[in-house]
Amino acid sequence: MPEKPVIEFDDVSFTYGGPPVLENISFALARGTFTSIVGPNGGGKSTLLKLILGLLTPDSGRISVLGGLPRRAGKRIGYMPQNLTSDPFFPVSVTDLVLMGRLCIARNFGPYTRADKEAARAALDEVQLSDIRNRQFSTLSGGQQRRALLARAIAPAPELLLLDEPTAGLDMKSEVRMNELLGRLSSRMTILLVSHNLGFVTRFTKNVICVKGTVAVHPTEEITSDLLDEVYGGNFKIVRHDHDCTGEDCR
Amino acid sequence: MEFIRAVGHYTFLQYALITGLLVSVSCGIIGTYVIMRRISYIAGGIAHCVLGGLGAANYLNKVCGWSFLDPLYGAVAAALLAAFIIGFVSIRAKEREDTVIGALWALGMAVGVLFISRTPGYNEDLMSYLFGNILMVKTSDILLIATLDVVVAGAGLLLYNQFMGICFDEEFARVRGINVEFYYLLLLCLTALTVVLTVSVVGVIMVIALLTLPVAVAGHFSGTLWKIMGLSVLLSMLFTTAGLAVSYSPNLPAGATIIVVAGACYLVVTAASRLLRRRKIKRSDISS
Repeated sequence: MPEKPVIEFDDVSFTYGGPPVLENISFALARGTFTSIVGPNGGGKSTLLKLILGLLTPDSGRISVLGGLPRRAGKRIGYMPQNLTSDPFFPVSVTDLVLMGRLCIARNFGPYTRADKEAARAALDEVQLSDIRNRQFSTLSGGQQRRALLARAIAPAPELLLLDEPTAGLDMKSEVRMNELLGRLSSRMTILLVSHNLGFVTRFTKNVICVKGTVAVHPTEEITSDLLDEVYGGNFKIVRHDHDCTGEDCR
Repeated sequence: MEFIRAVGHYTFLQYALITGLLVSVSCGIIGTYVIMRRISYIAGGIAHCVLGGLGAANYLNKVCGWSFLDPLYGAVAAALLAAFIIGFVSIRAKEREDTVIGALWALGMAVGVLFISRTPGYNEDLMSYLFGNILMVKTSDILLIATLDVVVAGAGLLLYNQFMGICFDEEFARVRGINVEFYYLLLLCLTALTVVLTVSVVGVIMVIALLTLPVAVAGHFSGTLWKIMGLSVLLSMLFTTAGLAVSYSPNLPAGATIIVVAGACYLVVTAASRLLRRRKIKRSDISS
């Protein structure tokens, strides 16, 4: 019997009250895949992510995440948002931030358990931020902040990791580091990332979902300049952007 | 010295001191959440609604003979009602939040003034509600204040992680399975109870100052939420005690003096912090 898809959209439509943002979408993602969602600004990428997270409810159609309703799957999902809506100077240490990823895991209220603290420590080790775990989050560099948010996302040991623009605003060096990290994580969890940065469709990506009101899922090798022209409405040339390539073409 | 000697002699001063210390615990804990969640305007709205509850309960007590109805009960009821109304509007129709807070702010005051005007002893009561009268606290008040204090501080500390989650990143907290609406309403209710406690010290008008100034000062010295919370509690205790001490000899209004002490400390710390930062930048410019 084939394994149930991790994410399944069946004829889903969504609107914020005006014209439809997503219309009659159907697709399924298998467990263990690394998928990138690409598309133009306003095309519905973040809306798609919020529907998967259960933060939005579709107007019609059915969404299944990890075999159930999106809202019920929250504890098994890791999520890294693009931007924090909070005060940028909010007084929170890196450890406290990562521990937030353990909310409602061991206990629904009260202090964190020893298991929570162990998991947070392991997540900080994974993203190589253990040495600055007591620093205030707001004092970190952009790259360190993104890695701290990634640590918060993986702290609950999720089955599904959702990332919204994980490399937004990062320099090349930090982007390479993030790329390596996600490569390591992809061996033990299903990853779905949203990126407007076509260069960040890494070598780990198995599928690319093109979103522009509707969606189309393509294996990475099928992505062509013509296809991207169609999605983004401009002239595109494909440049494989794995950063660690050493051949003449990459210079 | 005169104040310390007087505290040893006069029960009303001992009660005032105890009340100030008790209220400081809730003020420091809940005030930190109020600042971090940026709901001080909501706390202001709730505080002004309290006057309606105080006035109505006092009227029923004195004019209608409902002797069981302590004005503090009226204050608790009005504060919780205001918290629920503002909370529901904030959750269901965020764009109307300001209008509702403004309306409740004025309505609460107006209802309070009307009831107080129809109650014997009008002038004295109105002044003590508006500006606080910590020197008039009775044994029964202290028991009620201590009970509320335990409830508020206990909930504020027990649910620290959940409240920090919704204050820092509401969307992420929701993804993690936290019932954001429930915790937001609970935080507003705890804020409402803290407002009631604080009214007995500094009155309706100056509640916001005692909720926010200690946190603002503590923020200059600490980088994490729990440290800010702890320091805010200590600073609140310092401000209320110092305010009482300063006001005693020249017979100044205690509530107003407490706020002036807190405000002066805030201004000095903020100015000193800016000066230090400028010097630091200058030094780093010279060395580079």
